[in-house]
Amino acid sequence: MDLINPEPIIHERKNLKSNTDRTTTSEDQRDAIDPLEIFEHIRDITDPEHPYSLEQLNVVSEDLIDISDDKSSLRVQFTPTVQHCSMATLIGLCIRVKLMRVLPSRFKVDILITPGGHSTEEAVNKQLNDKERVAAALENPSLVQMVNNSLQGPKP
Amino acid sequence: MELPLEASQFVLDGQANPGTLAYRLQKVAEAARSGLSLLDLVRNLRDYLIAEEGETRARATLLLAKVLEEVPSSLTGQTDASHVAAFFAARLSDWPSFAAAIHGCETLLRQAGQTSGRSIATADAKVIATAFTDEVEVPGLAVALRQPALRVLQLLLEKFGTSLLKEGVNLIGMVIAATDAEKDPRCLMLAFSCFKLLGTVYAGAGCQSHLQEASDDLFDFVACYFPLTFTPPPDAAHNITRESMASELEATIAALPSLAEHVIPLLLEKLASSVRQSRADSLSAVKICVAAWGIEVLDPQLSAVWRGLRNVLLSHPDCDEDQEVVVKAGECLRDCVTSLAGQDNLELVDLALEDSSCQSLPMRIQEAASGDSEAAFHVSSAAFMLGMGERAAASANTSFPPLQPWHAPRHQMVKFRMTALSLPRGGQQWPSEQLNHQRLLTIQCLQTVVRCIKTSPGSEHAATDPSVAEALSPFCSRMLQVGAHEDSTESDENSIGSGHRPTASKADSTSEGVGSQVATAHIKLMSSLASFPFDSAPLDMMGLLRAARQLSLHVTDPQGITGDAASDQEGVSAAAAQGLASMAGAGKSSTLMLAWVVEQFVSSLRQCSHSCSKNGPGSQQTSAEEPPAGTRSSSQQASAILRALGAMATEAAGPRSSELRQLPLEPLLGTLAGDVIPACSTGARSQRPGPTGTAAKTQTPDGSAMVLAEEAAGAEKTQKLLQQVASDLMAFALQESQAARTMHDVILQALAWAAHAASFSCGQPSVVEQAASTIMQAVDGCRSAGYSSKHAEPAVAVAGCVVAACPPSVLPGDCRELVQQLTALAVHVDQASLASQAANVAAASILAKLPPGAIDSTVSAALAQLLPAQPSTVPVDDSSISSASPMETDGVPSPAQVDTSSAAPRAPTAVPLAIQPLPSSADSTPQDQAADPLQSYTPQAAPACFHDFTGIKAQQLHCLGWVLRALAMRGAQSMYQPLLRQYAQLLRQLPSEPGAVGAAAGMLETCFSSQGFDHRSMPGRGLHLTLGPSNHVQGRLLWQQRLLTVVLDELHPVLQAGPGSQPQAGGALWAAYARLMGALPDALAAREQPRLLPFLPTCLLRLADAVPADAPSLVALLNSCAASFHSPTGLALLTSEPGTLISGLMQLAAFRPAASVRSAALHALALLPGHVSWEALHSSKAAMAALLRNALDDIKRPVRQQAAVTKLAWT
Repeated sequence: MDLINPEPIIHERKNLKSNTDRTTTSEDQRDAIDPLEIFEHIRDITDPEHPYSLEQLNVVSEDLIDISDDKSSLRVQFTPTVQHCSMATLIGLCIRVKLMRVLPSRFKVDILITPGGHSTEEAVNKQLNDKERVAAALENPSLVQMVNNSLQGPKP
Repeated sequence: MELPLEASQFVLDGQANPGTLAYRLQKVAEAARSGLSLLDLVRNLRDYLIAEEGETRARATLLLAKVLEEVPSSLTGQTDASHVAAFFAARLSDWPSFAAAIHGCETLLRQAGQTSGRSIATADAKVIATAFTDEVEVPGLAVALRQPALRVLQLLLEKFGTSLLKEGVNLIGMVIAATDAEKDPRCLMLAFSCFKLLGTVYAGAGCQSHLQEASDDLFDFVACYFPLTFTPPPDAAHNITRESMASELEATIAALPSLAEHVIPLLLEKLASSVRQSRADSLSAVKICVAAWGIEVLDPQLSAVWRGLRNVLLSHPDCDEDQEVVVKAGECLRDCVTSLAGQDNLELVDLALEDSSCQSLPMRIQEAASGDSEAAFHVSSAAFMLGMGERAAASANTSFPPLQPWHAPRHQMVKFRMTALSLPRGGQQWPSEQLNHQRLLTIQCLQTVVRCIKTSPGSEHAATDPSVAEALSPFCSRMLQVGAHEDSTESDENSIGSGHRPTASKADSTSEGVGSQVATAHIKLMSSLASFPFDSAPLDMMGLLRAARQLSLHVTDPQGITGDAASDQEGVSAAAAQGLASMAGAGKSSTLMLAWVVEQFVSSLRQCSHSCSKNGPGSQQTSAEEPPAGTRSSSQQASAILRALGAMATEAAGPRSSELRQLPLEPLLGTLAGDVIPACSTGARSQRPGPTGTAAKTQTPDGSAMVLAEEAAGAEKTQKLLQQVASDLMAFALQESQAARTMHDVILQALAWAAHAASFSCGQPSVVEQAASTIMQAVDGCRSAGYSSKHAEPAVAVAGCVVAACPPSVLPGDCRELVQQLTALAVHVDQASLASQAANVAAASILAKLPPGAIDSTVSAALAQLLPAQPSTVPVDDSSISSASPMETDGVPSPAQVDTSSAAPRAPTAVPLAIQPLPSSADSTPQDQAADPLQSYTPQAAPACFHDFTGIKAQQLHCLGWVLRALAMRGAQSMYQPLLRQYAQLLRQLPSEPGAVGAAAGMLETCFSSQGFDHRSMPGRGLHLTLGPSNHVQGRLLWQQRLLTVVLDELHPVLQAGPGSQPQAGGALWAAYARLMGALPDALAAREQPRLLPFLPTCLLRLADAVPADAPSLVALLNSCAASFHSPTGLALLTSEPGTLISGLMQLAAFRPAASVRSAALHALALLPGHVSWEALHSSKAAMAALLRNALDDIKRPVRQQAAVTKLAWT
C-alpha cells in the first residue's frame, strides 16, 4: 500500500527537563501536572504509518499542549505531517486513549488538530471529541489493536 | 347576537397567515365574551359545519373548539355541554375534522369540573370514550395527532376514570389499544401516565382483579420498554431526557402492583445483565417497587429480590461505573429495608442474616473503610449493615422509633441510631462473644451514619444547624459509652463528662478478639466523628473534647478497654493515638481544642508517673521473672502518647503546609534528620514480656514523634504550641525526675520530644535559654546528688537528650564544660545504664557538631574517658588517651593498649556488660582478616547469664554505634577500631529480639558511617564534612561485609520465631530488617538472598503502618524486592505468598509521607504482572484499580508517572 507521506521529516528527540528540576522538594507540595508531563506521556506514541514516534515526526509538541491542573482541563493539539493525512483520526485516537489511561478521570481532554493542519480539520476534531464515537471506535477490536500497537512505542 | 365577519373569514380563509388567523379568532372570542353562546356560534356556522368540503368542516369545527378553549363561558349550561360533547365525539369519525374534534374533546375534558353547571357529565364522557374507542385508532395517527389523542385518554382516566369504570367502559383495553407500539417520547410520557392512572383508578374502585386478568397485556407494554434506551436528539424542544422517561416508566411499574409476579423476575433478570444501565435501572425500579407495593405484594418475591441484590452487592466491581452500580445496590437494599421496616417487616434483613455468603460483608466493609476512594462503597455496604443493626435492635426487644427515610432530618436519624446503640439493655444476658459482635455491628452502623452525614448532600448546612449539633452531642456520648463497654444501665451522659473511667467487664475478657475489634472500631469511629464537616462553633465542641478525653484514656490504658494480648493493646493504643491526632486536626481552627488535647497528654504522662511511682522505685529490678505491670504499661503509655503528640502536631500543621513551604527549613530539617532524630530515638523504648517470661526490653528506634513533629514545625502557630509544650515538658520532666526515679522511659521520651521541639526554636531566645538551663540544671542535679544513679540517671538522660537534640547553634556557649560534666557523670555514675548511654549520645553529638578547632585536648580527654566507660569491662589507659586528639590517629590508643584480660569495672554495675575476652589479635587490620573475630564468627547459643538481657544493653549498643559514627565522621579510625571489635563481640551475645534490634540499630549507624567514609559530603546535616578516600576502603571492608554477616546471623532466628517460642518480630525489628536489606552490598545480597527474601513480603506488610519505618529504608527494601523479581530464586521466594506481597506493596504505595516510597512500591507492583500468574493477581485487581486511581492523581509527579506505568502493566 502506498504511504500517505513516504518521506516524512524526522526530527531529533528532545532532551526534556528532568523531573528533579520540576519537582518540589516538599512532600506536601503538589507538583502540578504541566504540559511537559503530558508531552512525556504522548511523545513516544508510534505513528501508525512510520516506525517513528510522534515527537520525531513533530506531530506533537510541548508547545501545543494547554493544561490546567486546577480546572482539570487539557487541550492537546497535534499536527499531521501532511494536510491530507488519512491517519489523523487514528493518531488523535491514540493520543486520546493514551491520555485516558494515564490521566486522572477528572480531566476533560480535548484533542484537536492544529488550526490549518489538515484539510478536514473540523470533521476530525468533531470525531475525536465525540465520546460516543470514540467509545464506538474502541469497541472495534482491530482498531484497538492498532491503537495498542502505536501506544507500545517505537520498536528498538 | 350577530356573528362577526371574522368567523367566516377564519373558516374560509385557511391559508391566511397565523397572525391574521389569531386576530380573527380573537374577534370571535370577544363576541363570545360579549354574549355569543357556543350554540349560537354553531347555528351561525351551520353551513360550514356540514359543508361538503372537508377543510371547511374542519376549520369550522376548529373554530368551535378554539372559542370553547378561549371562552369556557360560551357554554351556557349542562345541555349545551352535552350537545357539544356529542358533536365533537361524532366528529371523531370525520377524518378531515378529526384534529379539530380531538382538540375540542380535550378542551371539554380539561374544563370538566372547573366550570360548574357548564361542563360535561359522566354520560358525555362516556360518549367521548365510546367514540374514542370505536372511531379512533391512535397508533395509526401521526405524532401530532397521537399526542392530543393520548391527552384525551389521560383526561378521561384522570377525571372520569372511576365513573367510566362503573359504566362498564373497558379502560384497560382503551389504553392498551391506544399505546400499542408507541415510540415517540412525548407520546410515551403520556402513555406511561395513562398506565399509572389505570393503576390508580382500578385500585380506587377496588377492581384490581381486572388488572390481574389483563396483567399479561399490561406487562407486555411495560416489559418492552424496560430498561429504557433513549438518546434525545440535540435539537429536541421537548426537554425529555432518558432519566425523566426512565423515572416515569419506573413510576408506571410501581403503580401496577398486579404485575409483581411478572415484573420482579424481569427486574432481577436485568439486574444480572452485563449492561450497566440495565442494572442501574433495575435497582432503581426495585427500590421504587418495594416502596410502593408493600410486603403483601412482595412477600412471595422477597427472597428472589434479596438474592438479586446480594449478588450485585457482593460482586467485585472492575471500574468506577461498576462501583457505582454496587453503590446503588447498597442504596437500594437500604431503602428496601427501610421501606419494609416501616411496615413492621424485617424479612429482608432476616434473609440477609441467614445468608451465609454475607458473612464476609463486615470484613469487606472494614477493607473498604481503609481507602477513601471506596468510601462510597463503604457507605452503601454499611447501609446494609445498618439494616442488620436494626434487626439486632429488634431482636433485643428494644423499642425504637419509627424508621425515617434516609434523607430525613438528621437528628431524627441520629435518634434512631442512638436507640439502636442501646442494645443490649440491662437484663439481657447475652453471651460475651455475641455481645461484642453486636457492639461491633453497631459501631459499624454508626460509622455509616457518620460517613453518610459527611457525604450526604447539604452536609455543609448541617454545620450551622443547631438541631444537628444538639442531636450529635448525645450521639457522641452514646458512642463513647458503647465503645468503652460501659454498662448500659449507667450510661447517662454525665458519666462521660465526669471522666468516668470505663472498665472491662468479665464477659469482655473472655472474648478478646472481638473486644479488640470493638475498641479499634470505636476509635476509628471517633476519628470519623472528629472530622465532621462542622468547623468549630456550632458543633458541640464539648462533645468532641469529651471524645478526646475518652481517647486519651484509651491511650493511657489500653488494658482497660480490651483486656487483650499485648499486641492488641499496642494496636488499640496506636489507633487511639491516631484518633486523637485526627481530633486535633479537626480542631485546627480551635487553639483551645489543641491546647486541651495537649493538656490531656501531659496530664496522662503525669498519671503514668504517679501510677508507676506507687510501685516503688527500683521495683522493676526486683523481680527477674516478671516486670511490674505498672512499669510496663507506663512505657507503653509513654510511647503511645509521644506518638500521638507527634502525629497531632503533624495533623495540626497539615492544613498549613503552604506556610511550611515558605519557611527556609531545609538546612534545619536536614540537620535534624541526620543527627537529632536518631539521637532522640535512642530514648524511645518500650518494654514487653520476654520469650520465657523474663523481663525483656525492646528498643524501638522510634523517631516517629520527632519525625512527625518536624513536619509540623514550620507552621507558626504550631511552632508556638511546640515551644509551649517543650517548656511544659521540660519542666515536667525535671520535676518528675526527682519524684519518680524509675520512670526512665517516660522522662526520656518526654525530654527527647521536648528537646526536639526546642530545637525547632533556634530563633526563639526564651526556648534556647530554657533548653540550656535545663541541661545545666540536670547536670547540677546529678552532681548534687552525688552521682548516684538513683537521682542521676533521669537527669543525665535529660541532659543527654537535650544536647543531642539541639543543633549547634542552640548548644550552651561553653560546650567544653558541658562535655566534661557529662563525661564525669558517665564515669562516676554507679550504674552503667541509661546515664552512661545518654552521656555517650550527648558526647558523640557534640563531637560531631563542634567545629574542628573546638576539639582541643580537654574535650578529647573527656571523650577518651567516656568511650571506654561504655563497655565497662574494657578499661583504657587514661594517661595515654588524655594526650591524644581524636583527629590524630597516631595519638589514639592502639588496640594493643586495651587490656582485656585485666578487665575491672570502674564502678559497681547492676547490669554488667560481660564482654567476652577478645583474641589477642584484636589489633588486626582489614588485611589480616583471618585473625579478626568477626571473620571467625559463628552463631552460638547465648550464655545463660544473658537470659536476663534487657533493652538497656540494646540501648548501649545503639549508643556505642553513635559514638562510632561520630568517630568515623571525624576520621578517628584508630579510636573506633577497638570499639568496633567490642561492638562485634557484643552483637554475638545477643540472644533475642532486643539484642537483634540493638544490632540493627547499630546497623543503621553502620550505614551512616559508610556514607561518612565516602567521598561525598553529608548534605543536609549541617556539617558538610568531606572525608578522605582511604577511610572509605576500611569502612567498606569492616562494616559492610563482616558486620553485616554477624548481624544477619543474629537477626535470622529472631525473624523466624513465631508465637509460642519467641516473641514475634515487632515493627522495630522489621525496620531493622529493612535497613539491613538496604545496606547489603551486592555481593553479600546475592549470598544472603535465600535467607532474607522469605521475610520480605511480611516485612512490607508490617512496615506499611509501622512507626519506625523510615523512607530511605523502605525505598531500599522496595528496590531489593523489585530486583529480586528478576532472579528465579528471588521470584520463587517472594511469590510463594503473593497476597501478602501485594498487600504490603499496595499499602506502601499509599504511604503518604514520602513520594519515593510510593513510587518504589508502584514500581514493584508494575513488575508483578510480568512475573506472577494472573490468577494470583486477580483478587487484588479491584483494590489495585482503586489504588491506581488515586496514584494517577498523586501530588508528586514521579508517583503519577510510575502509576501510569503500573496501570499499563496491570491492564
